[in-house]
Amino acid sequence: MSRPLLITDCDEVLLHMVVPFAEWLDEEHEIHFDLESGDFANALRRRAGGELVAGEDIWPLLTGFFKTEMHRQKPIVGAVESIAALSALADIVVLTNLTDNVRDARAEQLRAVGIDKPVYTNQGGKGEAMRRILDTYKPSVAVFVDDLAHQHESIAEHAPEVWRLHMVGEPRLAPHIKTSAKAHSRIDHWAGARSWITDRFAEGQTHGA
Amino acid sequence: MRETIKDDGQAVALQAIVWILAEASRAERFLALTGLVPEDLRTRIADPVVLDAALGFLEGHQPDFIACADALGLSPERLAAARGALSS
Repeated sequence: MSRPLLITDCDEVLLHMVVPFAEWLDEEHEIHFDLESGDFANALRRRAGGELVAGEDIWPLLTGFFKTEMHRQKPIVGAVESIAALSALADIVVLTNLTDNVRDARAEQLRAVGIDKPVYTNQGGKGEAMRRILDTYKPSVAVFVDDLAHQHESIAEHAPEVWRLHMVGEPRLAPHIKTSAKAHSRIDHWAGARSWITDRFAEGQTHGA
Repeated sequence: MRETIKDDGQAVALQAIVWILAEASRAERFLALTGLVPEDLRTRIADPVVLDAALGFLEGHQPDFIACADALGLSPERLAAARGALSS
């Protein structure tokens, strides 16, 4: 039987990412990450001298973080409880923007905090991966949650029937992130998000009945 | 119009179930007292029997009932009315 489906991002939705990343840069690389700048490319400066970290040097830092430091990522408040509760209503999968070789590490990382769900990895816009997931699950209604505006654009283009919730679960980032015009709603905390998601599922079930 | 009211009762009841399940100890108490098993929730969440059990569980414990209504932004009367709407 076809059930509702929740497709959720991981970083800044289920788990904190930039804050532990910034802490690690500070502790291990003597780099300061200005979280409030709202501009990732110009936010990293070497502590000695204040020199900007160039774009091509940021990428290895990110991959290094995901290779050895995932244990630093703690759950966003309410995420674990909300995923557990919504599991009664829907199938839930995680669609995360990471390379395929760290998929298992991500799944294990999420399992360790109490989120035991299928993990799909993806590079770039998530629209095409979403189409494949929808073809697999054939849900009665689908809801997508992500912190990045351009992912909502990608989903709107490739899977317009999916409900899109823009959520920036990191309180230090949220005030600096503009709401995507392609999202149906913007809610940055899980108590409100799970209520909104439940209503979308209820609508879907009502119409499907 | 009657259908709308019934649907609203279902939507409120689903919200209530999600609220109940969002705290592990409360979720355990819910399953123990209602006799439901996790499989019931997975396979027949929208079944009026399951929805009625959830609202009945809340009515049986006033602090939960008040806390749930508060969390959902509903008056206690409105939450109580949802149960009636399920069977109408």
